[in-house]
Amino acid sequence: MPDHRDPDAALMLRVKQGDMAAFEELVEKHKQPVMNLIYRTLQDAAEAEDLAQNAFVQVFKSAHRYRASAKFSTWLYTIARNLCLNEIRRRSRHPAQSLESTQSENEDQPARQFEDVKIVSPPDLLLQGELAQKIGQALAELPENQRTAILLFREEEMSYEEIARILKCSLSATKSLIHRGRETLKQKLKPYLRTGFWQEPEK
Amino acid sequence: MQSAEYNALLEAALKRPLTLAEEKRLQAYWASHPEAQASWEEEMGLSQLLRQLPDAPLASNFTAQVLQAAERESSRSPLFQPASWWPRRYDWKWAQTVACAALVLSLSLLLYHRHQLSLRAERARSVAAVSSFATLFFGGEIAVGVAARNGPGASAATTASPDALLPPLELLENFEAINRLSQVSPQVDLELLAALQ
Repeated sequence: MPDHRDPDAALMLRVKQGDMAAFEELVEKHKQPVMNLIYRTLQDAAEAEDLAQNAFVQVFKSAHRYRASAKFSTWLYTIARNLCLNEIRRRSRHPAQSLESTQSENEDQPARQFEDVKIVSPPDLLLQGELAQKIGQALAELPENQRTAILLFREEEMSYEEIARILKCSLSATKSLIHRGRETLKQKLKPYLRTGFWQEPEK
Repeated sequence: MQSAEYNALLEAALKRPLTLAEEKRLQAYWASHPEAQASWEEEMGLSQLLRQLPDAPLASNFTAQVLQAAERESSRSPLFQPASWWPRRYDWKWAQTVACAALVLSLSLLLYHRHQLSLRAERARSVAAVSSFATLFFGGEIAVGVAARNGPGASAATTASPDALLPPLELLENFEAINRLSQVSPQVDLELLAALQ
């Protein structure tokens, strides 16, 4: 049964008909959370952006097969996670080869034709001091499924059921993954959890 | 409040602010389980930190690049082109499947037909061989039997009229001598034996 309460599903049905404006709306809405998930998984801003773009292109390419039986975001994050897993596997097979070099061989047009007007600093510079680095590091050290579960759980609209669908595991297993991940994070970040506010730890 | 209910409250608090009623139930639980409050505050502190984690940097032209890539894909594979009189891609695929199936069926029928023809030819050859064998060995007997029935003066050829039934001439060359052997009485042999003794 189509989920008519999901506005993204309605947009996706328009994309199916070839409506580029609807597709643009979907990209605008979801680009940041998708990018966050991929960036926290791969720890590389450039590769994460390429993969995030690929995820949206995959959505566009597969639009004709889209059925509004589940939430659009579940489908989108499943695609994004699969791309991350593929990239992790590719890295483990070819540790020295970058994603950028393999893509430029296949693309007959230049990858970047639009000027990037926003000056983007390296991500670590944007993080707020030691605490931000610590959290990022603690997240990076989690197993992939625990990290993905916690990052998806961070998204306000994402329910346990949807996370379970994305991770392709049961509801109880998903809750267990989140619980274990959070326990690990609490252990590693214990000194910073006293107040729960974003501030430097006491020296 | 049971611990299961407390866990449900904790799950809810991780996703959204608690309602006033939920807050009251939580305060009541803490009154009876003071050790739970520290753990709760740690959970809330972690959620706060995770929520405040800065977003990953994203190029301002991200959407434009995605749209360009999508346009490129769209022109490569005409998924969104309007329908026309010309068959669409999956129609061709269907036609190709049918054509392949028809080709395989035709080839199978042709092979079966050829196999049947070769079987028939083989059977015909076998029948011909048996026929010639029968003519060679039994045709002579038939002729001899017929001649015997018709009396000593009758010719075998007059009774066995089809030429195909006649044995070859080489077989009939010593016919008279062979026929006479069966007519010699044993007395002659006995006389010959006595003379030799």
